[in-house]
Amino acid sequence: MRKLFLILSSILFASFVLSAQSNITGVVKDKVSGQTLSGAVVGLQGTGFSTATDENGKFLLENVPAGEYILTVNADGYESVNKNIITASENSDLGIIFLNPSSTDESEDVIIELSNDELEGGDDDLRTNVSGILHGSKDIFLSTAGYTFGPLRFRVRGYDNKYSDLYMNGIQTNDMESGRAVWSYWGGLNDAVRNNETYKGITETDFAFGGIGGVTGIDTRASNIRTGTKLTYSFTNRSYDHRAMFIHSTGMMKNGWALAVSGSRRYADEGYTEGTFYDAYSYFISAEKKLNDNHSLGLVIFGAPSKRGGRSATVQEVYDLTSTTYNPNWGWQDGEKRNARITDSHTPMAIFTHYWDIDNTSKLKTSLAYSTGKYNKTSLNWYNAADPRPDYYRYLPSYIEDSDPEAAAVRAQEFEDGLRQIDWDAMYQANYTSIDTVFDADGITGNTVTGKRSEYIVEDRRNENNQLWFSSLYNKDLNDNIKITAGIQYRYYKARHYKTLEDLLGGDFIVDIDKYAERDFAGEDVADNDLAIPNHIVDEIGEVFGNDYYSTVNYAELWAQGTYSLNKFDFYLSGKGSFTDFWRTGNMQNGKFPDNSLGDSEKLSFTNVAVKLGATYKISGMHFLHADAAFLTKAPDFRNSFVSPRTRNQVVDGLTDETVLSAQGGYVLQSNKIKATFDLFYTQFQDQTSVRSFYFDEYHNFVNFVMTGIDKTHQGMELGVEYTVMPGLTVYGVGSLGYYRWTSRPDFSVYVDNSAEVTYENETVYVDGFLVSGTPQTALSGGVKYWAPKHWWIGASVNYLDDRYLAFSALTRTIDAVKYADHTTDAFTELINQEKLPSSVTVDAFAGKSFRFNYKYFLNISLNVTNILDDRTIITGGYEQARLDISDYDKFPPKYYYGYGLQYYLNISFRF
Amino acid sequence: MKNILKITLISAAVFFTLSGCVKEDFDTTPEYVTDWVANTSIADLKAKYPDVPATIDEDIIIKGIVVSNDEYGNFYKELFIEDETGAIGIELDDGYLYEKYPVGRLVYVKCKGLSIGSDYGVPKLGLGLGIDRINSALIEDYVDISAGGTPVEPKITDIAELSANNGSLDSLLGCYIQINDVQFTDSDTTYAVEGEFYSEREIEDCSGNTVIMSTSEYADFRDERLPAGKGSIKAILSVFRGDYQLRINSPEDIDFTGERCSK
Repeated sequence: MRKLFLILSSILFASFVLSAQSNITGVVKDKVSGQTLSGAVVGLQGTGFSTATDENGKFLLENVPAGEYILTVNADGYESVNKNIITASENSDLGIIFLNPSSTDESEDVIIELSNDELEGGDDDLRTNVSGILHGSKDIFLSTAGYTFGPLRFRVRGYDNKYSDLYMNGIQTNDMESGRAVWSYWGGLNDAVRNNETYKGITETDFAFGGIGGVTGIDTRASNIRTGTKLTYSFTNRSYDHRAMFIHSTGMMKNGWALAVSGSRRYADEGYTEGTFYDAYSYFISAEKKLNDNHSLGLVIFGAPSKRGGRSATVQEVYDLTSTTYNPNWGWQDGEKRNARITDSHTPMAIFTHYWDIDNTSKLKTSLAYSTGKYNKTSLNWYNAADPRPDYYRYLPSYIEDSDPEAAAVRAQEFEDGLRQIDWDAMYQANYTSIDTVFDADGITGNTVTGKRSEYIVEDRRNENNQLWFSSLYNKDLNDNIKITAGIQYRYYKARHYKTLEDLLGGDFIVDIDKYAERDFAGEDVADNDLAIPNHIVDEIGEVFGNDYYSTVNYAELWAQGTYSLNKFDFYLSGKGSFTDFWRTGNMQNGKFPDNSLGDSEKLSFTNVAVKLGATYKISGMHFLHADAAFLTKAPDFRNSFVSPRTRNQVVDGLTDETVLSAQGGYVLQSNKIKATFDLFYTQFQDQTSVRSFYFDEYHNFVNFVMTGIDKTHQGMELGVEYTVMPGLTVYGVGSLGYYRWTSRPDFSVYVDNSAEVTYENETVYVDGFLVSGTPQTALSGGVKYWAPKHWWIGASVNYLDDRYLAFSALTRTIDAVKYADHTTDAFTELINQEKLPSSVTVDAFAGKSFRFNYKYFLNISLNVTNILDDRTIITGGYEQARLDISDYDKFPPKYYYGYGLQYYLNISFRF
Repeated sequence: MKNILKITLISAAVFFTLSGCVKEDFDTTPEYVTDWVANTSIADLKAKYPDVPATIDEDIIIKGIVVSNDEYGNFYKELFIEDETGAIGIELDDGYLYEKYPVGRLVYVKCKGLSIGSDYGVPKLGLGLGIDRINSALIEDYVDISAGGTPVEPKITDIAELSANNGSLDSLLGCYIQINDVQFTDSDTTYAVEGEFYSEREIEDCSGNTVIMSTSEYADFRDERLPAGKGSIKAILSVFRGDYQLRINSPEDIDFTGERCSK
């Protein structure tokens, strides 16, 4: 919010009618070295007065009306200084202002960088629960929430992160199919992306329209990246063990060039969770050429290739027998832990930007960008064979307990002894002996193939996409009171989704037919996944089979914003119009849907509008009140628009725009001693559509659960207070109390991938009043930080999270699914009620020291320990199984994700 | 600072007003209610087809409350439903009927296409003139359930009337009945023995009236000893070749804890 005030008030000067004016002067110096500091930003809080120090560290603020102000001094790498000043009619010289080299700056390195794995949680639904790396935020609430609550899957205001916009150098990087903000594109490039601004809720910014959840803008312009070289090594026990990073930046050189390069490596043989390895690199280069005083060109190219072993949720019974780091995804093969679910992703991106300072009051930034990426995930698949997953319900002691208690005890012991994992050897053996003959193979009459037909394989589910952006952003100060911003953006996205053969596990081939269709629909060709090659023998690694389609999305938007500033009030009004169209293109004619699988689907087009407005009342230079509101319609995401995109072009019935209405109001206090923010928010989402797709045991196939007409209301309050007890010592407290709930009874249908039969259609889901899952609705944190003058720091915090709810199975809340259940029993009530997960208390601490040699070498060592009490019983999320046995509700219990126990993050960096 | 406090308090008040009553009141999934409408009573159905077996070709829908329970194996792939006018059995090819059709559940049967017949005297519905079991995949085409069922109170019946075996109780066949003050003539045995398809156990009152209790060899409680005392028994009324029989759902239907008849 502070930026808002700066912007809105930057032309406040003209509104002042006071006659008494004066000039303020001073010099800014480094407290340790005594050297003068150039480029430090000096301003008066809540006014438009702002300037930068010259090469001698001097500054001058001219024609300041008499009054009481807070003078702020900010410089990169230094702690900011706030000073109360009173000006009268005569000029005032503030003398020397010393800045402490910032240790906060360095301690940011330790701020928990959420790895891809943690961001994704192993389950698509949980993939983007956290708000990424929020250290760019100046908001106390947001910055604390980002690194304290983030790892525990806290979502600001309970919103899905697709309601937050993520920008780099003017282009929006939210995923085109899901709308979600993806931070992993630049994983490991912390120093390169450190120039970023994050705003929560409804705000105006000078670079984007923004979502209702907020907006983050990352600036990787080479001349803005801190000059120098930095090497960092980190040692931790999270999803990776080692991280090494470097960055070198030249700053703007005399020849008009600026160059920055960065790279990193993150690695773990086995991360915190069993059987998860981590192998990631990143690279970054940013170049800028200043053509003249008005024009600069910038090019940034970066990417973060990463490979990592996945984790899956499992049932409590298994966790009880093993530990909360149990992971059903791996098994021993040749003495090594092999993970069956490996994610391999890499999305290199190039952004070319033209910076044009048209004149003193206007500028234009135009970007052209291209990315080509992949997101591949392996998985086991099996045919006419036993389920290979070690935690499959039939293999659990509880399942065999009644019929064979002795075997159940043996099974339980095996779990305890770590023997219940994926049995790769058994799969090889099964494949070796699975001799089969396929007639008319590959659709060639008389072509008979005999060999080892794999019962088990590893397949690779691939997403390869290409994307193009064009965006242009125009900022203009019309006069001292009015600023306008306008932007256009066009995005083109095309992704190919398909499956390839990854490993035959000792077999010779598989046949590309659908086992479900084969079993249930005897008939010519019906089971063929690709009618072009009936009885397709798939025997080469990398061969495409199963499904293959393109998703194409076009998006264009135009937005404009005006801000109007008065003495006591600031206003803004923003509007956005956008056009989205997308379609599916099938590359395979599926035997089950011969008329509806190949070629283009219907083109779905949506025209949307969004409006935001807000006002700030400046009670004084320290106290601000603000109120904001937004109304918008949002096109459904590609991902939620097709009932079974893997197999056919069928569009979700009743697909419609989502409507969002949001309002917030708040109070901000900025004084020497206390910084505080308090916000209330209320948001209604209407007509959301959700398509969840997963492998469903009961049907031995992918099943798509389609819900339409979802309404939700999110309301709550946020508080952030930071109090400076004495120089260097601050105590702080942040809290978010939310009440996020479903407010409708959505419509529900179930489609099996390879079945035309609709299992459930237009059922009502009785979940009105259910609570939004995937985030704690109550989050409180209090802490203390001390920054010593001698460049060491220490701090600790206590965090309390509560009101987490388990993601519920919609199917269970339909009349038909529980038709035969006895509604009068307690067990039934428990079944259809939503499960509340236990609350958690964690303690975190950090400490560090910064050493400086010859005034130009900086060595920083810091240690951050989270969950010091090593509480391994924190359930961070999970979901109910959709499968339901009416005669035994406990047969398919919920699956949970557990958070990490004690984690340390040791960070050493060297900067020069 | 006062202002700040004021603002905070007012805001908090507004918030809680907005939130209304923040009560976690979960939605509940309602019970299933069928859209089938019963148009004929069980007695009327039987009356319409006096000559059995016969195929029902009219749009007849009956409803009744489940009285039989296959959980303990004494009933198998058959379901008895009862209304105010009588009861009828339905042949269903499903081994776990108690899960979907427990005792007390309100059941609707679309009779058109089914046949009504007599199983050694017991009225039953099934497929074809052989009154075959309805294939499990087809059951829901003919049988539906609905909310609002409550268990049937057993009809108190006089053992003397049963003992007479003169057909006077034929309208109660398949109904849940209760007879009081009776005992096993010979209680020194088990409910049933392996190898006999049905084991017959005689029940008597102190006046010498008798009726047979018939128990399947597949009943879970087959090997349990009969209770020695005297008291009441609840059972489904059946008939075999003109003789009334009782079929219990489980031994819990028998409460023989009193003193036996003095002889």
